Amino acid sequence: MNKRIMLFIIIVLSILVLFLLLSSVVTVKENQYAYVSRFSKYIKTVDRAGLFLKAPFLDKVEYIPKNSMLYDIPPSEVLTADKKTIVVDNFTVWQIDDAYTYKRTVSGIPEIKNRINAIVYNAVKNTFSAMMQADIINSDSDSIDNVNHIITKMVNEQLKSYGVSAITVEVKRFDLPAANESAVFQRMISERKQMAEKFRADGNLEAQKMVNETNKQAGIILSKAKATSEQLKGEAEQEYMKIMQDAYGTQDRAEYYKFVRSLEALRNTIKGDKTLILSSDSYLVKVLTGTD
Amino acid sequence: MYDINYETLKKIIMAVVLVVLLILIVVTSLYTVNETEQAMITTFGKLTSIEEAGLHIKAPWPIQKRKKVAVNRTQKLQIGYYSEDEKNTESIESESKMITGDYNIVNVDFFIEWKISDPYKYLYKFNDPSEILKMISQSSARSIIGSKNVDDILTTGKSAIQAEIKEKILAKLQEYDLGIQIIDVKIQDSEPPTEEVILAFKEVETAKQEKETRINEAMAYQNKTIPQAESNADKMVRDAESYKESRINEANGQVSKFNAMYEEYIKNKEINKTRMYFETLEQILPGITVYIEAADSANIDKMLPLKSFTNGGND
Repeated sequence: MNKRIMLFIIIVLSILVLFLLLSSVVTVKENQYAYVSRFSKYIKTVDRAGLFLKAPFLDKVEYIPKNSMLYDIPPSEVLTADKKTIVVDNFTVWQIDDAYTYKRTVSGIPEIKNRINAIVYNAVKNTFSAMMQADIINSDSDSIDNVNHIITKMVNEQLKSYGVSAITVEVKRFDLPAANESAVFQRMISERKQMAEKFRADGNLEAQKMVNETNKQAGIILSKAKATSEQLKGEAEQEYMKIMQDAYGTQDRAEYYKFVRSLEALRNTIKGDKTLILSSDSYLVKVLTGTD
Repeated sequence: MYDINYETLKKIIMAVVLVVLLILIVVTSLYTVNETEQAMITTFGKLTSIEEAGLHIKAPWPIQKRKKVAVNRTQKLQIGYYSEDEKNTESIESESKMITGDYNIVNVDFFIEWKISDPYKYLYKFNDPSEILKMISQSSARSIIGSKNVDDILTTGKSAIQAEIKEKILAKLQEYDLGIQIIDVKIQDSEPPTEEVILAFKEVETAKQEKETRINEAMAYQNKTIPQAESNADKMVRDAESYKESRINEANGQVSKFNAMYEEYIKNKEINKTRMYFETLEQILPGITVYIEAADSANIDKMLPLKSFTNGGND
């Protein structure tokens, strides 16, 4: 009987010791803090990973994330300096720096996220209301970095009191309100239509110019050729007459030519039943009567 | 008998419990790591070693835990679209729609190829590093696109813009130190935001083509007309030249014929002359009635009718 009771006591004691051991040992992961409190009073924050000791049963451990967390903030509308609306979509990567301050000021992750949301909205609103919409949208890529830095600084100022900070707060995207968007689409369409018209008009003009120039050139070529050919024809007649004249140049030859030519004329004109009336001193009479 | 059964039962239960414990210990102590991964071994939560490919042993759970990280695997982040096989893509407009520097709106789809470069940072420094990469990529793309013109984005500047986006992402990655390495950034697609706008852009391309066609047609006309005119001109001049030549030849021909006849004529001028008279008269006089006016009177009534010479009339 005693033996069994003793065994029982030993087992119970071992189990108690085990529980004691388990309750005084804390494992902390690489990406978390261990917030140790005793009867709701803060004792310490363990911010290194590994095995740590605490007072068994008395000390309570809560794990708080140590890593940097992404919060994709829902988009919000802001008014620019020129009274235009723009939709800004931010995100931030933030972390808890001081677990004690965090636990004291915030009840949990959802609440701190709400705070961040409000603080960022404020910073964004204040920053963009001092800028013209055109400058916000058409930025060279460095100027938006500037804006991001300014907003991050403003946000971190406010987050200090919660023991958290943001690595950055960045603009993920800008959007125009729906009505503005369709106006932009319409403008894009009419711009393109104009461009298309211009191309067509330019094409027609250039083509027409080329055709006109071509016709002009062709005309010039032909008229030059015409002039040359007329000149040649003139020269031809000149040459012809010169040659003929040289041939009939001497007195004797001229006479011979006259003689032959008149005989030919006679032959050609006097044919058939014709009647000739001649005066006695006509050449033909001279020919007929041999008195030449 | 009751005692004996109780004893053996206790022993059997203990044996079974021991065996189960042993199996559990073995199962959580042995592990393999394959080529594309590394295993992070934590001892009571603290990272104590990083193991490469192979078979390894560690202290059983919960003393040592292991977490595998796909370190050498190339991962792909798609922004603005979703596609399993790069063939069928689904557009995600909320990610792809962006405002350009010249106040136009475009849809840009792009992807990023990346790798885990530092498994410790990747696992423990951030809660969702791949999602943070996605946010960074979107903000980088937006800032680059916001500084460019719509024409550059849609046509000529695509590869330059792609390179600029990559540069920006790399710069931001330095700031954040995510434990991620970028392999490549490529624009998958960029196009106007709605069907209507796409059509308007296409119309511009069509108009450009039309312009080119018109000019080509005019050029073809030029290439046809000028040579044609030159050839006509050439022919005109050649025809005139050949006319000139033939006219000269004609003249020369007539002259040589004349000269030849003259030479013959001159040899016996009087006889030839007379002969030619009579030959001509022979030809012309048959059938002709000739009236010759008397030499001493201008009165046309007094005429000497001279019958046909060949009708036996004698002078």
